[in-house]
Amino acid sequence: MAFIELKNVSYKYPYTKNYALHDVTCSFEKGKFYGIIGENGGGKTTLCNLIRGLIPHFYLGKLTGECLIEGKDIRDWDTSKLCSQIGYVFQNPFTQISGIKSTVFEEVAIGLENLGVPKEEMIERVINVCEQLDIGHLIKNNPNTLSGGQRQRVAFASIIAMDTDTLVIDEPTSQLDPEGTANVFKIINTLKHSNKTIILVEHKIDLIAEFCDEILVMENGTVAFSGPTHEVLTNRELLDHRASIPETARFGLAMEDAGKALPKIPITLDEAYDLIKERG
Amino acid sequence: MDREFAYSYNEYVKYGNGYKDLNPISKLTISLCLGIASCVVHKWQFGVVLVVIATIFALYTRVFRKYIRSLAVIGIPLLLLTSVIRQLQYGKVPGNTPIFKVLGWQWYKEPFIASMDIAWYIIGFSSVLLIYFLNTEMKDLMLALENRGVTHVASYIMLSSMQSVIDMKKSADTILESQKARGIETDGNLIVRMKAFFPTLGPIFLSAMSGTEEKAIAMDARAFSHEGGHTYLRVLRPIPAWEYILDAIAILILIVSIVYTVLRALHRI
Amino acid sequence: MAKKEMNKLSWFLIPIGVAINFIGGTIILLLKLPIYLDSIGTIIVGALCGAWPGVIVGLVSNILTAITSPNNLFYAPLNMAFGVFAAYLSKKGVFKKFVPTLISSLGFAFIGGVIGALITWSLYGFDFGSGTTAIVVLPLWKALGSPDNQFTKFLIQILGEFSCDLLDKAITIIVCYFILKAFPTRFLSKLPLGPIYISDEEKALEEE
Repeated sequence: MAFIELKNVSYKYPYTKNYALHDVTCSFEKGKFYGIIGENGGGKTTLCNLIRGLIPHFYLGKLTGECLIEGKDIRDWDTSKLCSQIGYVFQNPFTQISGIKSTVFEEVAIGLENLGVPKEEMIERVINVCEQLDIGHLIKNNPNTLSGGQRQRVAFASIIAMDTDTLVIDEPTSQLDPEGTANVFKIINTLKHSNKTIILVEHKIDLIAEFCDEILVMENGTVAFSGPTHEVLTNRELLDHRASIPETARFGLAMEDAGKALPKIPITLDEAYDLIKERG
Repeated sequence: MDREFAYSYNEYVKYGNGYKDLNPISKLTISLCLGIASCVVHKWQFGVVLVVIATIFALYTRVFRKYIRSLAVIGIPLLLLTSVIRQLQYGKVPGNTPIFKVLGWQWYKEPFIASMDIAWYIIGFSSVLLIYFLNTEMKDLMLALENRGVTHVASYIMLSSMQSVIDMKKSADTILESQKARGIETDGNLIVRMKAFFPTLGPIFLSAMSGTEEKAIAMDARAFSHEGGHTYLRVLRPIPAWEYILDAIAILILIVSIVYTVLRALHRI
Repeated sequence: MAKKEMNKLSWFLIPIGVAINFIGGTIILLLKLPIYLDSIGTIIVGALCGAWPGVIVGLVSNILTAITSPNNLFYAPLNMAFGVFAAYLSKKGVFKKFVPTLISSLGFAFIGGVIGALITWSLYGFDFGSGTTAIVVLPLWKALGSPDNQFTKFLIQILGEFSCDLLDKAITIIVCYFILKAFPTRFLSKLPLGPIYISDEEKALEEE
């Protein structure tokens, strides 16, 4: 049984005409890294909201179909318990800082305090997370004086410290500058090698290509494509849809068209380099 | 990473000052009891005594400048206005003993004493509470309250309000600057200034509102609504017995003041 | 379960209401206008979330100003009352149209006047107070022939406070009206009294 399962899920936000999700069926297995891509308004964030339990508990609205987390319907889940199973990081670095703690160290510990983790364990976990995410030099700072990129790393830290089995990450770099983005990429890289289930929504297709095991392409509230990363990102049909594919894949497809196909269509720069080098 | 800093959270919160290290609720109890006693007794002598005590503490905790500035802002207008208002009504307070002249205007003793009673009880009340607020971090007070069973939602509301005021001021400054740059006048006659006001407010408020939804989601992700045990990274020192004794003395002073005032009133009648 | 979630968002709106109270007052000072505008947040939160959240905004704002001016604490009931009144009027739908909203400023000024006078009167030994309202109250008293009667004097205090407050509350309530109108529907739908401000066409969409 898959960890997260959606069966024929349709959803409409309150007081709106159009359905944000139409008859979506998909599943997420434990331990895999999933990417969700697609145009804005395609339903990516709505899907995240559903998995996180915000739909239907926070957003209300009309939900039909079945959404099961660990076999239990999302409607039966208590969101206060769900937060220790599924972590959530989203775009805005400013609203993810609580504003009630005076040091970054305390800010990272906030979830652990709420969950009732014993103090000694709390301190160790916060130290480990801060080292892991390279924010050790910031622990004395007031979180409200940090830059956007720094805040986003602290936001990640407070969620990762909670050690949830699943992480939903919704466009974490869209409000950051290049340096901030690079730092977030590093964090996601460390997550890749953990045993967690990660669901990453991103526009930066190269990031997706590099980290994800499987990809879902959302369009107009439905899953247009899904499958292993390489399969989805080298699918010619994707070029017709407005979702983008990596430059290297475009290059690979263009080579194919020119009759000089590479053994495999590359989706990352490293792959492309290796394939071309082989050819000589 | 400064591991020493990280492990310092294992110790109790301390400021190294006798007054500051008192438990926030003990301090509040003492300040409120003394302040309310001042209101109840309604006599200038009590108020002046409180101001003297508060000033001593202001010096001890090194907050004298801020303390005296705030107290002056409260006290000087109060003293001036109350004495003037009472003098305008001489004859309403029984007694007609002239005391001194102010710029040729004869002032009388009884209304003057009455006005001093009012002004000084308020100043006395303010002085002890000023010392309290100048020396107590709100986060410590909220922590002490949570330890007594108050919900962490209350802490969140109080602390987040304080931070939101700061954040919104920053955002207001930015927007006012950009309005000025766009040529919207902020000086000039009344109508002009009113016109500047509304377009400034709009973006500030609406962006704050939309941030609220995300803040709620972010806090929820950090187990804000989790029921069950809550632990604390910062812990206040355990309350020593003598603090309870201080509290008891303050409460006693309040009770004595109430009794004294009631007896005094009855005696009059 | 849904109702509990709706209340949750109210808690997060309270700090914003407090901040708005402060900012209203500060911007006004900057623009050198002769009003306070320190209750905008209290009224908006009262109107959208109900009496208790409105009361909390008023109380917290009051406590925060008391940090530098502890004598403000005495006026806490005043700020709290505005929150209650705002919630009451909101439920009656008063803030949906401009004219009823404007008229309600009389109500707010009246409450401000009566409760303000009660507090001032008790503070200053059952006689005229020396706050900023004295500028209006005392000349008024002299103009009416300096009556001796305590009750008359109290009424003059109320009248003085009411007049001072009227302009302030009128502008406050107009600002609140426009802000309430500008709220996006998706936000309103999550607040206890929010749906009052959702237009009927949008409400119809819910029936589908």
